[in-house]
Amino acid sequence: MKLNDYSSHSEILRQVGFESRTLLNGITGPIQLIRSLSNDPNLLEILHILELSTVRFEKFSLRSQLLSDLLNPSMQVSNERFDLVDLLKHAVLELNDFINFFGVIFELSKDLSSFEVEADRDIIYQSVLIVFEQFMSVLESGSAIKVDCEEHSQKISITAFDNGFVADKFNQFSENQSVEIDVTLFVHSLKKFSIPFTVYKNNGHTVMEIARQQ
Amino acid sequence: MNEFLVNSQVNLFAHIVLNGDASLQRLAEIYTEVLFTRLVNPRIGKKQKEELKQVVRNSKQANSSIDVKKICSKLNSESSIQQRLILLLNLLEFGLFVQKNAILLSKSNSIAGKIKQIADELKISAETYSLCSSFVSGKLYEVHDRRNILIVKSVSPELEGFHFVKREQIDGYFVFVYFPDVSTIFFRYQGKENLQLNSKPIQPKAIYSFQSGSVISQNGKPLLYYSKVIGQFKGLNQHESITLNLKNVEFTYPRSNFGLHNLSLTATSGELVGIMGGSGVGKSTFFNLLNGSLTPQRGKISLNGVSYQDGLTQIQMLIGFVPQDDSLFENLTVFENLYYTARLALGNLTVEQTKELVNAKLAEFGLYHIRNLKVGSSLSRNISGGQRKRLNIVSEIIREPKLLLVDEPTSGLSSADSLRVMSLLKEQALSGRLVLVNIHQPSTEIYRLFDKILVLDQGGYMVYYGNPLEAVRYFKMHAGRIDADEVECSVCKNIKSDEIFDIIDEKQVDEFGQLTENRKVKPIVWSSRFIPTDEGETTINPLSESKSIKTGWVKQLEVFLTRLTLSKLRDIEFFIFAFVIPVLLAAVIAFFSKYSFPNEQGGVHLHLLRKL
Repeated sequence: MKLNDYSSHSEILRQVGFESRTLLNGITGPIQLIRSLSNDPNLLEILHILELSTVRFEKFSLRSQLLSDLLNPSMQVSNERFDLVDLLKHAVLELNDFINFFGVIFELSKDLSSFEVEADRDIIYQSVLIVFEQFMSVLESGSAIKVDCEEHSQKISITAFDNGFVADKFNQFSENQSVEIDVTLFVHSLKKFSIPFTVYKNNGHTVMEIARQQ
Repeated sequence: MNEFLVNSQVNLFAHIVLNGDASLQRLAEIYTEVLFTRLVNPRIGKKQKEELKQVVRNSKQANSSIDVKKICSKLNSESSIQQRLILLLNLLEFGLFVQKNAILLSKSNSIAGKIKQIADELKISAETYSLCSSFVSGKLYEVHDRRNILIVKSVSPELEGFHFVKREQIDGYFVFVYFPDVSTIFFRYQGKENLQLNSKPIQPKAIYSFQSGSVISQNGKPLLYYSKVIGQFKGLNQHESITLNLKNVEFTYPRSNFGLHNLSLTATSGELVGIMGGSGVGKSTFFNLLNGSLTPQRGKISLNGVSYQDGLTQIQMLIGFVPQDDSLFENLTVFENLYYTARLALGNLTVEQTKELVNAKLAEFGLYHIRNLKVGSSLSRNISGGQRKRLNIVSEIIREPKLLLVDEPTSGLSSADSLRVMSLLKEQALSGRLVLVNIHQPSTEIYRLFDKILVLDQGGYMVYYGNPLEAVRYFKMHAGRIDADEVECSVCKNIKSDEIFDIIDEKQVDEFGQLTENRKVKPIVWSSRFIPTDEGETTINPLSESKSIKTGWVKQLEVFLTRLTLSKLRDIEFFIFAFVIPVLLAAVIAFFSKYSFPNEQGGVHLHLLRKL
């Protein structure tokens, strides 16, 4: 998907999101019913794996819808002031299942202090989840994702030793190449709310820095 | 959940999906089956699914809508706010189930709007609705008052404002939400572990009500007690908490084997502990050991690490003891009874301060409106048995004891009075005291209030100490019952606590199949079977000083005399005997002394008669 194609794809994205949710409902309902009827630990383990997939599918559906909304100029988004560090911590909590699944470690610096931004909190929350998910999907088990503050709390940095894979994905976007919906949503969200960010490689690490709004 | 609530829930689901497409109705059917299978059983799940189909079909055929206002109005008049909250949470969960995401749910005007309308009709405040919505959707970052959220996880999420309890054993995490206005707790688990709530499996993401006495276990081992969770929300002062510890305590009466044997337990502030057992098993002996009236022959009793042997005087100042028989002055009013007790116990307060405190305590215990009524004797009662018992309890509470011992608080009371008294004791525990209660045959509601129970068997053997619901499972398991995991009725949620004693006391049969007097399992065997579970971390604080200061002897004498005089003056029988009869007698004696004289025959003549 290329940048100049977004507006034409907005309606398609919305429909993809809607249809995928309808499909998902046909899967998640019976999964929950099986859970209610069975106590077999082996079956529960299988159901958990199935559920992890449905959660990812749910996210895909949601993010398609959100991207569609962002691309629609008449769509209203909310604007509120909140702490981005708090949102990062909530994201780590929500991703607990995936963190256990991928075996990665989150290292949140004790120096992280309040980092206020003004934006749509739900959309920025999804963007934060996207960054962490991008890292987790390429890291080896036991690797760490470090979240720290830089330049006297003027920037938040998210760093991981991933041979620069995540940085490459974001660079593809800036080079107008085809990239995932997630990365597209992240970039559009932060641009929409004028939150400056940079992604670069450094000695096999990907470093993402999010700066304060001007 | 009773039938009325279940029907109301189904009708509200029908209202939400009535104008939706076929796929929405199908989802509602699946969710209804999932919900009631989880809450009750698969049979009820299927039945309610069919019921929903029927309601939707009927409404469509009649081309009529469902009267939400009527349903909600009936719910408002017949159900508690807790029950209405459960209905709302189920509706929100259903909305999430359909929309798959909270953000999309909030964008869906048709479903979110209808749920909000129902919440308004159910008179659920906007604040509570917002908390419910954020909890169900998992959008915890939206919660304004974070003191109402507790996270239980292996490592702290470092989220500012939230309560946190560490449980290293789990990979997933729990989110608990507390509604302070209605003292209700719900939780949700996120993870893949095999955990149980009161011996029933916990499903990830599903919402559960966490009631008093509940326990979450992992592979049969208790992981989290209700008391721990409520303690976090209530903000019990950890620095002032006490830990009572008994280690291998042995006490026998002279020339007998009766008493208590090898008693070991730990209880902390915030817990309500029930002491259960038949007559003569040593329940009163246990209390006498705890209040320092008896001294164990072996073992050690300590409070915050200070042994009774070393600091009994200091410890006794922190103990309140409410005996089974009340010690009220029947001729004094409710207020006067408490006032004079307070004057004796709280030497550091002025008269005005004491009066204020007494009025506040009377209001807290629901006795303010009868403050001017005379207590009355046991035969001519002016106040009810429940009110008498509450007055007895508050007479001890006014000293602010850290450890409260209450002997048979429910004996002779109606079930409603019993529940009220026990609920007040639970409140006392939740305010940071450790409350121990001797009790016989508690009802399900009362049994659920306990955080722990101690079961004593004949001869004073401790046969169980721990979570009350786990106790039912424990004894059923040892008795080889096939339904050992069924600790409560799956439909009515009743707990048969009596079954514990039926199992303990089970008799052997002879070769003819007749029950004998011999028990299947002797008390000492039950005692040896019980292995106390590891309580986890317990922080021992230095023993704090009592807040009450003993009144000086002069003031004590003054209060005693005032109370006694007031009490005697109001006792008409006493007044007659003490003042009228002696005067009359004196007058008669004086009369005879003055006007009588001996005659010649050795008899007595009245001088007055001779004059006549």
